[in-house]
Amino acid sequence: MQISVHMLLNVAVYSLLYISTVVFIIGVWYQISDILKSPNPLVISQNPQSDKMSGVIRRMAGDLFLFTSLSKGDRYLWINGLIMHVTLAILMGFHLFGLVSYLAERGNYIHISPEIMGFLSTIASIIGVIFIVSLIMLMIKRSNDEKSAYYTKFFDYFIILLIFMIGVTGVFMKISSFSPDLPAVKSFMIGAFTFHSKPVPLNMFFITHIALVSILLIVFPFTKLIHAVGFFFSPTRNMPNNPREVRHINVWDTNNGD
Amino acid sequence: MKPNEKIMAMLKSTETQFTPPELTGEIKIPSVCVGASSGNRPFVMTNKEQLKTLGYPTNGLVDNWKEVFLKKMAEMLDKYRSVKLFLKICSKCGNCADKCHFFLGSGDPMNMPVARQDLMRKVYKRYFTFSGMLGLPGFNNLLDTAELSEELLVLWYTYFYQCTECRRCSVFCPYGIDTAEITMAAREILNSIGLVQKNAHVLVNNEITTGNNFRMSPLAFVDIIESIEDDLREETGIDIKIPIDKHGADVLMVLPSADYFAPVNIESLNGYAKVFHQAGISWTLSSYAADGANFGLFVHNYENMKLINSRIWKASRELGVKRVIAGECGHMYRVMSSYSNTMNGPFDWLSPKYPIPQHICEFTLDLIKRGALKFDKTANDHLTPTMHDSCQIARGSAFGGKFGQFEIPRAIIRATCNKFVEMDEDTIREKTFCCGAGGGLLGDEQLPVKLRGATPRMQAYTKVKRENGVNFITSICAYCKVQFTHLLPHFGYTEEEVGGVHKLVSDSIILGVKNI
Ligand code: SF4
Ligand code: SF4
Ligand code: SF4
Repeated sequence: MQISVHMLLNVAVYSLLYISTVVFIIGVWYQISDILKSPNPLVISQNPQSDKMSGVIRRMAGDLFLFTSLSKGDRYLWINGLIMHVTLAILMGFHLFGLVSYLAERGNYIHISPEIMGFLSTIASIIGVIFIVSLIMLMIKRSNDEKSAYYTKFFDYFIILLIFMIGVTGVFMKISSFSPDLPAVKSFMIGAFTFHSKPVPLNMFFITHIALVSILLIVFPFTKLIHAVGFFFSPTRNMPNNPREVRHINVWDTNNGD
Repeated sequence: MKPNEKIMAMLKSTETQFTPPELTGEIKIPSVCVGASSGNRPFVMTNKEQLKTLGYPTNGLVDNWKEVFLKKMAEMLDKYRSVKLFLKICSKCGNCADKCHFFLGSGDPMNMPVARQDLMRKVYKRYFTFSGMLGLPGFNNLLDTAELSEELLVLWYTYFYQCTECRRCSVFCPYGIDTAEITMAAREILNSIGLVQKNAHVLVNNEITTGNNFRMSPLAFVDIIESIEDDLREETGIDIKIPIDKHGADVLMVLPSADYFAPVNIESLNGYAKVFHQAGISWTLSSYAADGANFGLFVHNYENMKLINSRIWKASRELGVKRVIAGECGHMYRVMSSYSNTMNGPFDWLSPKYPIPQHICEFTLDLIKRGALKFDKTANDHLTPTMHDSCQIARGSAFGGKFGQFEIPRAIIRATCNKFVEMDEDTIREKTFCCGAGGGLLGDEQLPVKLRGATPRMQAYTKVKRENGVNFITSICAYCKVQFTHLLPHFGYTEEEVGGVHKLVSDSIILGVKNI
């Protein structure tokens, strides 16, 4: 009996993982092609903007890594937003590192001492906590400020809560009494990537974590989360301001009036 | 009742009077007050002939408006990446919420840029995305979608005409979302179903049919310019010419028609004339392209904008000039510098040595730097000017390099005045506040909205006025000047407190002695 429930669970987790990944990839691909389908008829760079591509890239890098434009407004929002995104990126980096180092060690390419692993794990926990705190700060701002309360709707809370729960389950796994069997987790994940099914580690936090991430992947392309992709296509930021020197062509009007 | 009668009744303004708040010099973020600005709407255009010229329905709201609406919206989404992308990617971070002068002036949450965009985003989600199409009407609130309804049209007509398309919100947006793009698309959708705002579109119609806002004949234009020339001769005792249709001149000067109609603006025209006279550069106006102002910018109707713009370039070719210079006007300059080349270019017949078009401030500062112009700064000693950056120039276009649109006019002011004081950093340059009447918000019926929109600028002005004795607002936009002369008295100031950069030039330039 025990075995068959576990098998069912296995099937469920694996299908969720694969379905969500497929939805994510197709969804993002659809959104990008939908965006690219519409052209930019006119130069609408938001000035002051550089007239060179190098300047444009510098500006967008500032917006990407330091949230420069956000920093021109509300400082609280900027600090918390920045911390949230940076810690998220670091945490994702840790996940990747975990997998890669596991593979490398299994293939005897490198050996990382348990002390170093333990140290990294502590760092990851701390960053995880900072991540969660920044999310709480953002949530407080969203619900307490009468302006944002006005335009914040169900889905905005849903997404922030989803990410919050992913963070919380993640950090809980770092507490030894709740933590899953690490080698089992790693071999399960490698299995998932290489299409070799391995048993799902039976740990509440791990399974919830995986399930929530899958949901996040599914909603990502169809909600405001797509801002992570759309940012790069924003015509006000990615067009150099040189319309006087370089003639921009409007693809749906190539007749120049003569 | 026919849909048109019903909607016309709903679109009547309930608010026609408004007393501006007391000026304290401080820009406070107001507390949210739902519906504070919901009672004022611009007039709807009913003149059938004009509607026909513009290509819009002539009998008010069309019967099958929902169908037309969605078709036009699909067209907007297909033609403008900006509109589609901005509807997709807003993360509701809220950084733009308190950046709009209309929100700051009213506290109406619908005037938060994000809420303004949401008016269209809800329709987009409902009719153009999977989630919305799956959703049953009962779930609109949950999914943040909206059904098309008359009530929604009223909201659109109200709040998309409480946006001056100034782009201030986009400066603060992490993804550069420009509410102006959405407003322009929304207005064109409203136009396509027959809800055409009157005042701006009368001007579009006039520009298409006669080439200028005031429906003047070329003869009337020549008359007006000649009388300005006469006044100039009387004032200076020197024969300063304002040539019209002079073939083979070096420069075609393009003006907004306000430059020869409104007294504040004429002072700037005098300035241009004196600069050309003193520099000895031959120039001309064109009676065919007598008005560079292009109100087509304010709606996503590319064809009308292009048609209006084409006159300038036809005139430049006809007259055989080498270069085109644009006078002081925000939206005119944006269309000329940012859009012309795409719509009507390339302009092979003009000299590639100069920017096409050049801005008059670029031209004047260049002459100043080369020592061709001399000034008696004391002539402006009764003024302590400050600079109101015009949004369509500050954020919509540029000249003289990345920050030229900020630095060049200031350099001219410093060259012509002994005193100059900046307003608060948060209210100038890229963060400049709109005057409150751009984007085609011209009609007097919208006075309450315009007064609210002007409030942040007035507060900033009041501050430097009290602390530094500033008594003059300089601007390089014809419509800012007109708007300020209109609104200043409502705030207890006088209409003499505003003028163009070239008014300062005009009043202090030393004429006669040639320097080159
Ligand atoms: S473009 Fe200007 S007027 Fe329009 S919403 Fe943004 S800040 Fe307000
Ligand atoms: S600043 Fe940009 S992303 Fe943030 S709410 Fe406003 S429009 Fe949306
Ligand atoms: S009139 Fe001037 S301040 Fe107002 S929108 Fe136009 S450029 Fe901006």
